[in-house]
Amino acid sequence: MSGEQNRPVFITRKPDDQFTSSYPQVDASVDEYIQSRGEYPIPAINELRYAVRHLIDAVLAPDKNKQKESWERALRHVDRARYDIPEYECSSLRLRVEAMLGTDAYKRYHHIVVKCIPNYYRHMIAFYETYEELKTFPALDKNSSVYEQRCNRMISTAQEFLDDIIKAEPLICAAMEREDRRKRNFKIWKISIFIGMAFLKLIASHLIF
Amino acid sequence: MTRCDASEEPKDEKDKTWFRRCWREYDESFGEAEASVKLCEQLSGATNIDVIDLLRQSGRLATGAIKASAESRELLQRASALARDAVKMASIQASQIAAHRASQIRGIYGGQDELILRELMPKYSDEYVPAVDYLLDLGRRIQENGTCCIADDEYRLIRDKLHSAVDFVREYEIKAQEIDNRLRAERHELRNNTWGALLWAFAGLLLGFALDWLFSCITSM
Repeated sequence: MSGEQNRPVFITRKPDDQFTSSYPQVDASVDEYIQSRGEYPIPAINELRYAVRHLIDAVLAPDKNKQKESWERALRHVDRARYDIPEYECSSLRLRVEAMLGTDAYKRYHHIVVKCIPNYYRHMIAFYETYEELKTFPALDKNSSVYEQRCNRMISTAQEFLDDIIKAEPLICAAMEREDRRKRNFKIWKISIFIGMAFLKLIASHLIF
Repeated sequence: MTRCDASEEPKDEKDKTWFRRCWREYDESFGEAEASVKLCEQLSGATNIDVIDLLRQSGRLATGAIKASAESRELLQRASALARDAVKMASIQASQIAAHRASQIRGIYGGQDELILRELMPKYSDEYVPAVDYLLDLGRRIQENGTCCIADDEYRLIRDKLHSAVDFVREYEIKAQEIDNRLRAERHELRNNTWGALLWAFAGLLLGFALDWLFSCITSM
């Protein structure tokens, strides 16, 4: 009797119930993402679209087996959409960081960029470490809290890096301008020294002979 | 098919026939919009974000319709309406992409070269050209007055013309190599003919000189 009582009870919910409870959650996450980031997480929206296709198939299914199969497929798409949102955010942030650092000016004045962005190398190492972790994550385990945590870590790392880059932008621009001016001044100096030396040589030869 | 938002209303909340018909209508609109999205992707390689987002919103309403029995009728009607809007939007966007691509192809083979298209594509003059012209004109109309100038029943016509324009693009992609070969062969022949004519003219001139010399020889004797 006591053994019977201690046995864990698994409550299996019907797939349609699961779908109707999880679809609005993911859908709300998509809305939140659109509002906060101002862009559409296309892969997640597509997954939700596929989920709706299977939802319609389930409602119009001719028999119970087909119906169950369609519900399960729909649920799989909703689950996929759930982790597609942070995954898309990660790739979008990564592209933004790479686009900012990949501009011609930033490449040319890399030594200035490194000096102006606080903890540049620490940011860079953390950024690529987390990116590598995500890239090598097994595809079948993506629907897990571990993957979500890693995505969130990547998001916060990339966001911090991006914030520091944006914050350092005025400083970088000023330093670039100073560097340009310094280079220009140095050119003028070189020409003046050249002319001065020639002039000196002329005077010296005039004085000697 | 009668629309589930029109004249007929369900007898009660559990009127299965009405709901099933409504779901079927939703299924049809959703499928049509999806097909247009795929078409856009195939033609331009880009995803039609507005349409897929509209379909997502319709999905939200449809999910709500399953969940809430009291409001399911209204939610399902709204989902269907959104899917219909998605079909319209997707049709217009796909038609504009297809028309643009088709007019690009026509632009390559202007003047005499167009004859090859007419020859190799049996439907070119009767079906493809009018369809592309219609869609280009539609694009101009939309630019001037927006989509409000398009009547509901015109969408069927747009879809027909869209299919013709897509057929043209696909047929061209299949026959592109053949068309280019024909074009090259014709140009080669034309070049050969030009050189041949020049050669004949030169030979004629030489003959003239020779005859002239011959006559002068004869007359001097």
